[in-house]
Amino acid sequence: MMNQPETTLVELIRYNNWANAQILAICQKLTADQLATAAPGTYGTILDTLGHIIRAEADYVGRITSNRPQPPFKWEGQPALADISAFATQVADALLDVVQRIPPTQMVHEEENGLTMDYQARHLFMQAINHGIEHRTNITTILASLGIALPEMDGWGYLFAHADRFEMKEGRL
Amino acid sequence: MKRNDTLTTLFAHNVWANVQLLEVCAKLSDVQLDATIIGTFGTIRETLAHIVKSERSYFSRISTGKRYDFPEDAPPLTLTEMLESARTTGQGLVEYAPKVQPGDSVQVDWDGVMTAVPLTVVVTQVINHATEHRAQIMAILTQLGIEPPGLSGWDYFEARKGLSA
Repeated sequence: MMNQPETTLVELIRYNNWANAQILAICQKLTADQLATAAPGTYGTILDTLGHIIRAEADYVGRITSNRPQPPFKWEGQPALADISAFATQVADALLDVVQRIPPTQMVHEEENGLTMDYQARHLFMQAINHGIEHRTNITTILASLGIALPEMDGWGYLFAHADRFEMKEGRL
Repeated sequence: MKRNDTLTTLFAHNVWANVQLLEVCAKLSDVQLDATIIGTFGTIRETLAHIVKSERSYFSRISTGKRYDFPEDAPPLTLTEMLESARTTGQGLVEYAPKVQPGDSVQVDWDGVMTAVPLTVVVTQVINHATEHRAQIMAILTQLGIEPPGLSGWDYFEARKGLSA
């Protein structure tokens, strides 16, 4: 039987992918020093955090499908932001495909250090959404501390960026 | 009935995370609650109130289609009142958010222009808004030398093992 995707979940992942693309585009204009900036209470430098977001999302896809998207570079080799951005597009497509195709109750099986763990895919869907928002916030906090102006990247920014797709209707009071 | 859709899981995590953070912050001193850092919304106290009041407003939009007007002369919320509100609207969102259907929308007065906003986007905004501001508070807590609570999906999974959502 075909899986009927959860409409709002699909929208949340579309939002996630759009927000990742926005923050990656902003950060591509930064200097190397700015990309190497961190702030107490956040994950790490801007560049490290961007890599962490995309690497984690590829990992979530891999846990669910056993087919993790593979970048054409080594994470340990400190990839350039342009390379991370290119890989992010591939990961975004894979993540969207997963939430459209995989039922939230599909079991995920993991084995590590002689232990097994089984849980439903919905936990990873939830983790993917929260993880992206939390770490993008880390980055926007650092960017704000650097005095860099940011566009609206919340749900409302997403809405107005896709006014046609949402068939937005406006009228005077 | 046990519900195992992702939206129920997502909103069950949201109310859990809000309550966890509010309970930690309820133990802070006034000086700590009034701390902030550059690049965040404001002080811890202001950010918590902002999360709670916004969620109350979003919940009204999703469950009734109408905006919620806070009394203009109301005093600032106490931490106890914030906790109570987070639990109430959080559970309400657990119930209502999964019911949102494609094509559902709500009329919002956007700077004097009535705009049809898809409810899927409102639900997206609820999760984004709360998660974003919790992350800001956690950064402030860390700068205060306070270990923030673990609020990730993994932490929730660990805390709720064997439970329905």
